[in-house]
Amino acid sequence: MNWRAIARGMRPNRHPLDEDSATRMLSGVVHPDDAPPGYGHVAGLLSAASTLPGVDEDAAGITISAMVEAIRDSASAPQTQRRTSMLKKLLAGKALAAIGVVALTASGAAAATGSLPDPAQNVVAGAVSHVGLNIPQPGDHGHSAGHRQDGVHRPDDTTSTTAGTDDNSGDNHGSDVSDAAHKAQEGTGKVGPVVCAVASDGKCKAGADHSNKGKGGGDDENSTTSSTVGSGEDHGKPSGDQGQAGEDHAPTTVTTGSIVTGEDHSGNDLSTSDQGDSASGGRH
Amino acid sequence: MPSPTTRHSLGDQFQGILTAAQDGGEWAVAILYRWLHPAVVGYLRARAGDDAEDLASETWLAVARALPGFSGDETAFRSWVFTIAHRRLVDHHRASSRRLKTRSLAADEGDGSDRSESLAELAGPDDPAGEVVAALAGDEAVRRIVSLLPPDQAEIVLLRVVAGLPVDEVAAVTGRKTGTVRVLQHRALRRLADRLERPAAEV
Repeated sequence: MNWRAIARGMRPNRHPLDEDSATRMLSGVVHPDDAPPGYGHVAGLLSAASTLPGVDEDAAGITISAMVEAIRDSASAPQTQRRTSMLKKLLAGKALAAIGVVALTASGAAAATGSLPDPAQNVVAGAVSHVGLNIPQPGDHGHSAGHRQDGVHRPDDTTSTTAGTDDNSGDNHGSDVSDAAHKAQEGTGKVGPVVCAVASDGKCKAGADHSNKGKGGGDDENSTTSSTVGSGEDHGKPSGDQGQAGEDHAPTTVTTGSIVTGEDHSGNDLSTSDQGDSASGGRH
Repeated sequence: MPSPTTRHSLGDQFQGILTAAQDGGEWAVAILYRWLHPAVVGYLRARAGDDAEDLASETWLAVARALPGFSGDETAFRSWVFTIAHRRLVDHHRASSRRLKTRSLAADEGDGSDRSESLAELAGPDDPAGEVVAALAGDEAVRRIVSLLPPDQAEIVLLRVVAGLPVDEVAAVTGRKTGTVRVLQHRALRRLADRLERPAAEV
């Protein structure tokens, strides 16, 4: 006899509980005397548990009133919620549409003016190029040479169409003036009228002015550079001195004349010739 | 006074009462309340003690708020009410876990041996324990069941006995499979038989 048999022998006399008996006992309708062997006490306990106390009338009245109120509130709530929901949906749709239109307009305008950040501008430009629209690429800020939108001037960005041409003409012109100045220095020593004439292509009448108007020209020595140049013999020397120094400044003084300056930026260009005639001519 | 209404079936009158209650008819609400409230309180009291009445009120208010949208027969309604009560009970346990430590089922189980012992003391040689058990009031019998069974088995038995739910509805309320409910209730009955018929000294 093993321990299982011993354990069975020590157990009370109890039959296996079938499903139907269990269901009947759990329904609380089985009297202890009618219960399966060994389950009499269980049947009595379950029968007692199924018998519940009555309702507390005071608490019942309060709870039932609250329930009725809750039912009526909840019955009327769905319509209100539905209206609120529809209103929210309508307003939300309009608001979204307005926001979308504003955002689209603003971004389109920004893209058209090239104001978007470079990556965004690049993307937009690439996208609209497929539909035939042309908007600036990043870094393509129009044809204003040397000028960015941030206002920074780039000296090395020389896209001026006139610069090259004038430079070429300036080269020859400066060389001619320089040669004339040297020849005048070596010859008559009157450098000023010669240089003036050469520089102005014969328009300068410096010597004639001096002989004809005399004092008038001399009185005007504080006025302009051209007056100084045209101051004739009195000022020829200083002018010649400048020509000496001329090697430093004579061409500068001469070519600072309004004629040349009026044509191009040779004034600025020649100012660099302060460092020397040859250099001046060579640079032009 | 014991209320036999809990186990009574409303039968064919149920749909009419339900419709009237959904329209806010106070008389219909009162019938539904009186019909199931004792079972709801009994189920809750076994797990929540003195908080059972408050939890039952919360349960009924939740039932009322959702009642206009309910559709189903009498069994479905009963199952629905106890599902709400079960959820309220779970919420109650979560909210007052610290307080429940002193009232936990483990503590109740500890009391269970004492109660079984007192039950054995009440039962003299000529007074079988079964008769004493049968003489217990319903509320005390529920407490005894809870004290003698593990929580999962006690819950199944209470929903079957107190709430009067069939196995499949108990499974729906507790979120268990039907087969699991059958196994648990079978084990519970055997455990109760062992505890109640065993001599007090061995309990």
